[in-house]
Amino acid sequence: MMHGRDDDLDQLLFAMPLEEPPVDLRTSILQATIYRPAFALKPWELWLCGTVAAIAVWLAVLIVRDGGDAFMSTLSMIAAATFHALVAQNTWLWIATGIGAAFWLLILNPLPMRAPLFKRYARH
Amino acid sequence: MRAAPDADHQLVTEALRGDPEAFATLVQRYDRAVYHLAYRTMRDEEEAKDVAQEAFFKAYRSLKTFRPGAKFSTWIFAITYHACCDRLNRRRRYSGEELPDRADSAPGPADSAIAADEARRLRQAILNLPEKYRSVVTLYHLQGKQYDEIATVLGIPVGTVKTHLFRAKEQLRKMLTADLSGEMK
Repeated sequence: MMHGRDDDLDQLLFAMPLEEPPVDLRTSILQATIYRPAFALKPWELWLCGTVAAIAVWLAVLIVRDGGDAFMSTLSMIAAATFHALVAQNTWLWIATGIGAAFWLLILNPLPMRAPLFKRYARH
Repeated sequence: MRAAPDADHQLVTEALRGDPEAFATLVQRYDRAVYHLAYRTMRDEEEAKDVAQEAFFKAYRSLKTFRPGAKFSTWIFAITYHACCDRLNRRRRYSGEELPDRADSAPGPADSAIAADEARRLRQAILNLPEKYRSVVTLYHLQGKQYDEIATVLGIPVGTVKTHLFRAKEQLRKMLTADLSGEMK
C-alpha cells in the first residue's frame, strides 16, 4: 500500500489492531474496583471511633495520673462550661441564626441536589 | 471499541445505583483501548498495565462526578492520558534526561502476512513519533475523526489537535516511505 495519500494512511491506521493487553489485565482491574473488599467502616464511623478512643485514653490518663482528682475536676469544668454556654442568650441566638441560614440556603439554592452516593460493594 | 454512548450512560447509571456488573461491562468494553492508549504513551507493557488499572480505579472511585452529557470513552481516555503524563513526568524527573526511543519488538496479529508487516511498520513508526504526536495519532485511531473529543482528552485546542495530527501523519508517511525504500535497496 502506498502511504502518499491521507486516505491510505487513515485506512492503514484504522485497520491496525489494538495492542493485545496482558491476559490478567481485566481480572486485576476488576479486583481493584468492584471486587475490592469493602472497608468495614464508613469514614464518619472511623472518625467517631477515633474520637471516642482518644477521649477514653485522655480520661484514663487523668484517672491513673492523679487518682481521680484531675478527672473529676476536668469533668466538672466541662459541665460548667457547657452549662454556661447553654444558658447564655448569645448561644441560642447564634444557633437560631445558623438554622435560619441553613433553611433559607436550602430553599433558595439554585444548584440541584447531588447524585446519590456510590454504594459500597461487598465481595460476593 | 466504540460502544454506543447511550449504552455507556446506562451502564454508568446502573453502576452508580450499585450494580457491579454494569461497571464490569464498562471494563470489558474499554480495557483494551485504555491499555492501547497507555502502551502507546508509555511504551512499556508493565507500566501500561499499571496505568490501565489505575485509570479504571480512578474512574470507579469518581464515577459520580461523570457528567451525563459526556462520553464515557472520552472520560476514561482523559483519565488514562493524565495518569500517563504523571508517570512520564515522574520518570523524566528521576532520569533527568530525554527518554530514549524504543522500538516495538512485538508484531501485532493480522490476517495476512502483508497486512501484518504493514501493521508492524506502522506500530513501530508510531512509537518513534514524539510523544505529543503519538498521543494524538493513538486517540485518532481509538476515537476516529472526532477532533473535539481528542482535544478534550488531551486538554488542548481543536486547532492544535489538527496541526499535531497533520504533522504526525507527515512524519509517519516519511518514516514508512523511508522504511520501504530502505528494504528495496
